[in-house]
Amino acid sequence: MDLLSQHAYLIAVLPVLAFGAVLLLGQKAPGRGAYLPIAALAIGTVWSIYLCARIHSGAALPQGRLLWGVGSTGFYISFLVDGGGAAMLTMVCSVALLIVIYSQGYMRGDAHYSRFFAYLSLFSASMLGFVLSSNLLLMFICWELVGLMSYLLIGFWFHKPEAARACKKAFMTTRLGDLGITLAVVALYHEAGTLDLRVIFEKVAAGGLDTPMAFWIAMGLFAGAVGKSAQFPLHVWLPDAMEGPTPVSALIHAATMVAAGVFLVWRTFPVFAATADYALMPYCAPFWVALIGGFTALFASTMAVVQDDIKRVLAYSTISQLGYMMLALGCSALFAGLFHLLTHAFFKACLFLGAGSVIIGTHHVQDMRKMGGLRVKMPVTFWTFVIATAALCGLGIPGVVGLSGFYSKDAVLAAAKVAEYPGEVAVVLYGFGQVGALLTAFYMTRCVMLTFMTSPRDAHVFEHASETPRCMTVPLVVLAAVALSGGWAGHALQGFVEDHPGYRIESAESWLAEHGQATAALEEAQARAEHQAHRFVELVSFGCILAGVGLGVALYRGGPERADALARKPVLALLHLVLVNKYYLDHAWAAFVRVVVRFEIALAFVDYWVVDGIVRGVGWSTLRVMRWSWAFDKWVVDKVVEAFAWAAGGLGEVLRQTQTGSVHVYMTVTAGVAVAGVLATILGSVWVFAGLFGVCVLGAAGWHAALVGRRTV
Amino acid sequence: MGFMLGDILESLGQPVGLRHCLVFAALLFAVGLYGVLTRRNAIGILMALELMLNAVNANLVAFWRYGPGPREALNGQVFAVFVITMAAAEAAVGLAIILALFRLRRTVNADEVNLLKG
Repeated sequence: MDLLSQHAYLIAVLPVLAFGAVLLLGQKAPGRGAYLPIAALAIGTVWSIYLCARIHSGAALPQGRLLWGVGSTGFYISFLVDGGGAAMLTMVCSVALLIVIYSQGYMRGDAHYSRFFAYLSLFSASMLGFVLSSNLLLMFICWELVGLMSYLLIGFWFHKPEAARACKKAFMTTRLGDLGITLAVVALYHEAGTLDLRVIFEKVAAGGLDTPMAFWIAMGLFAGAVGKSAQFPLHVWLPDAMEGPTPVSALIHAATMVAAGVFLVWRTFPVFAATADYALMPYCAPFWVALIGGFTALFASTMAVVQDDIKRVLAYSTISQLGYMMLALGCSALFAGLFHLLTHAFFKACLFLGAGSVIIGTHHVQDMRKMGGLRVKMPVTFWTFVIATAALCGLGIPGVVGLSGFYSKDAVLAAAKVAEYPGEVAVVLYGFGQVGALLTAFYMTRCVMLTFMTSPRDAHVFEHASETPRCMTVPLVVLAAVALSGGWAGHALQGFVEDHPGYRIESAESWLAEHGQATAALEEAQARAEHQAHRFVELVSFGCILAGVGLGVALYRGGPERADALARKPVLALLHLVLVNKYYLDHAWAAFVRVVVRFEIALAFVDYWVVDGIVRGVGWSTLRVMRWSWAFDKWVVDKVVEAFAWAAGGLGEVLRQTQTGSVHVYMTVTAGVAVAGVLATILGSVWVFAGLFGVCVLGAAGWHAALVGRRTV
Repeated sequence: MGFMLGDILESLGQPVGLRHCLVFAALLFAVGLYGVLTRRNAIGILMALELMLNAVNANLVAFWRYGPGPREALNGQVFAVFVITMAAAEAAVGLAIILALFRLRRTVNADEVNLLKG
């Protein structure tokens, strides 16, 4: 393996270094903080392209690992770049690079200019690390880092209360999903004994996981993806995340945050595939992925129809498109999901940066109702926005040529069409996607019409609008070019990703083989069916897009008035109300949170009165006991000790009197005792001795007293 | 007691033997003791002490001479010689102490010296 492949992890490390350097140097960093991240990401882009070329030429997949021991357990931090990973790396690096370049214009004059670039750098780095990682430990670390950085960046303008609320909401909502992924990782470690994906997938392919267990693990992972990729019902954070600076929105929506969820499902799909049997319902994980994804695709696009904030339209569009990716993955169409993720990254980045360009060009107007006619003032932004919109709608001439979204979205829809699920389920899933596509075309047309076409509605905004500086328009053009042409590489990309699977697809294939899908005849029939489905889907989609665009143009040709009038019609008014209120889901979540808070208040009450009460009671009673103990100590123990001391002192005081210091007294006593001893021996009586001894002592004492008395006289 | 005393006085009439020696030693000891107890002069006390020691010496020799032990062993004499040696050393030390005392207090009266009083 050559040096560049061996050290491919540096692609993720370089932006981390840039982050550290910019954070330390602050305003003194080159370009006030912008150049280092740009350099790191530019190197990363070139490097990833080089890796793609290496992998494409059949070289060994770049990989390596570091050991990280905890006690006797070794955790490996390992990386592996396979075809899909290399494609993702290229996408993340290049999109992030363009966004960072663009940010120089967008953030001009911001008080925390350099810190913004530091954050962007670490945000990209964590996503790159996530893509590079080949074990769940590092993936999980990067996953959480992505979450943290999104929190910091959404709340970058933390002095705005909405931004502070939005970043909190994003963090908490994704945390709900992270609970699932945490449990899944722990469960996988418990089941497989390792966090290395290759080993896990080998075990899974060998049937090492029971179905319910594999299902719950897969659902745990998917719960994380639902949170990060803003799928129903955890999508509520993403529209609010629009409070962050627009480049952050672009980065979140295109390259990093939401892509992480889809990529996680893609990466760990063998675990999902282990339960991919509709007969096992409800323990069929891919079905839930497809259902949630398909539903979200339609659901979010309906809400995008009534948004007036240009960024919010795009936010709901992102949720919807992520739903498409999930739908594809849930239909076991791994490449279609990844492909849509890649193409979506470019055209959604282009759309967001275009929206940002509009916002800067109109001096911070986000309400589309105040815009209109901006195509004259901002031609570059207009044309790139239109191209990206067309790509998002999936515009193209069936069977001939189309924009990037045309290929990827149709691949997704075709996958849904030929999915393994029973007839009615497949129809519903496909229907979700197809109606969603119609609505996508409609709301994007509406967005373009209200923003760029029609006549200016706010004269003041229009007067002062101007095209943005070159550092913002150049990334737009580059992104638009990729959005335009990215789909043409689809076939090559599919070959590239599927021929260099690393460790991923073989297990899915082995599952397919096990289920008798791999025989040549069946394969051919399936290929034919897919081809037919593709044709069919292309045609239907084309019709839908035309219908959507046509409806949009017809309704909004003269501004929003006609649509507003339509929204006041009886039934439509109700629908409009529901949509404007986002199906009251935010209210539902708020109610849920209120219930949780009530519950927590109750818990706090219990905590205060019961748990704390016990603790306080123990403290109080201990204090009481200690007081008694103290009293006992003072009045009994101490007194006994003092009594001994007092007795000893008193005795000493008495005995001290015998220590006269007078030689005569000592001699007298000695002689007296000797005499007494002799007499006692002779008479054989202890009492005599005792009596004489007493006489001696008393006599000596008297004598002494006499001596002392004489001295004093 | 009276009986014992009479018995002793009666035996003194017989030829000189152990009893004579013991009575002599007892009297000498008593004289020494009296001196020790009554003398105020420290030198006097020391001298009286010598008397008491010598009374003991006399006893030792007497018991050797008249006692049941073998004559050849010379126990009593050796003891006596040791005691005399010790008494000489003791006198030297005692006199040195008295000299020091005199220098300190300008007196050798034992009654006036009670440094060790508790």
